[in-house]
Amino acid sequence: MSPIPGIVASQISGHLASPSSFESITTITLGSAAASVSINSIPQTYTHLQLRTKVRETGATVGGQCQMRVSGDTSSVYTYHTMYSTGGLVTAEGSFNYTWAYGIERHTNGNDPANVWGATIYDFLDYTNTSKKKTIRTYGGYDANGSGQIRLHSALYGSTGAITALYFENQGAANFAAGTQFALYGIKG
Amino acid sequence: MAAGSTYTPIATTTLGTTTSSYTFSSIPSTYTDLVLVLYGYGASSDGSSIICRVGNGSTDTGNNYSTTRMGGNGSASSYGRYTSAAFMRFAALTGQSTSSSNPTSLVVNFMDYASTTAKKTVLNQISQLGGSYPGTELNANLWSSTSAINTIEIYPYLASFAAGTVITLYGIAAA
Repeated sequence: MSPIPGIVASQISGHLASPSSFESITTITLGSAAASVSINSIPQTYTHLQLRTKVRETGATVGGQCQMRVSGDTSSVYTYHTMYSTGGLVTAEGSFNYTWAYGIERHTNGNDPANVWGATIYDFLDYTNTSKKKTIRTYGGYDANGSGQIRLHSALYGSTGAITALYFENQGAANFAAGTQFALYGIKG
Repeated sequence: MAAGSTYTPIATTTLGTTTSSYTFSSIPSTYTDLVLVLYGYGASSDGSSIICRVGNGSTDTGNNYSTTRMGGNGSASSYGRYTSAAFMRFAALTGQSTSSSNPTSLVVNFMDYASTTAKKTVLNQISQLGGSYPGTELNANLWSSTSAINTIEIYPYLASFAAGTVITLYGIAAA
């Protein structure tokens, strides 16, 4: 065997992509707590996008999780399927025709030990295509030494419009904690 | 807006002989995340798990690791949690095959690894098609330390990596 960068990278993103085609687009790191995170004016020059997040929220509701909207679209066009485990039986669920992409990731909140963060990797495939609806995959979670969740999630943005912007809130209406980071990368075809 | 290419190979090795463990040391702190990719198989003990320790200057051998996991083998799901463990367990359901035609594929994301304020979340995905313990598994791991990671040791729990196993470490830098 020998290292083949294209094959190696494909295990990360699910697509053949040499390391030299993976570029940083923008990074948002919160200097103080905030209710939402927006990434706007996403360049349309890549084949896929990957978003890598480090998230904690300030609230103490049970289980922190994000909801997402794409391109400012507030209509009922979001569908999801997810499977996850909190260390017990694997659970699968899904639903459709929502106005948000729900449950797209899980992260820590005020109930969890200090300095522990959730992490999620999002893949937005063929995001500029104007003839296909968009499939989004996320994978991530957190472990807090006795609590936590690992999650694999797919979301459908049921529109053929190109993805030009991303908007995130916490489902429990809590703020994102200072230090929360959203780093967006572009993958060339 | 874009900052140019950022998926950078830091180090790679193709093991020339049977190796009980492999360590990346003196890892630069200049990236945002690290990605470790392993493609290989075991030298013996079909079904050995793959485990990992990290540290700053040397690997932490204390009980400072934990894991939440789920997986499946084609007929049943699998799940579990390990707390206050002496290592991160990247595979519990799946085990390394000793067959060179059925290598294990492992991808590990060390998120925000250079932070000195955050404990380290480590995500891994592992798949094994052949051998006695085929399956696929996703794990969220924690190294309960705010020290930056500059050392990573990876090894099979019960065996050794066979010659030909490829291990590569990449750095991803955010804009």
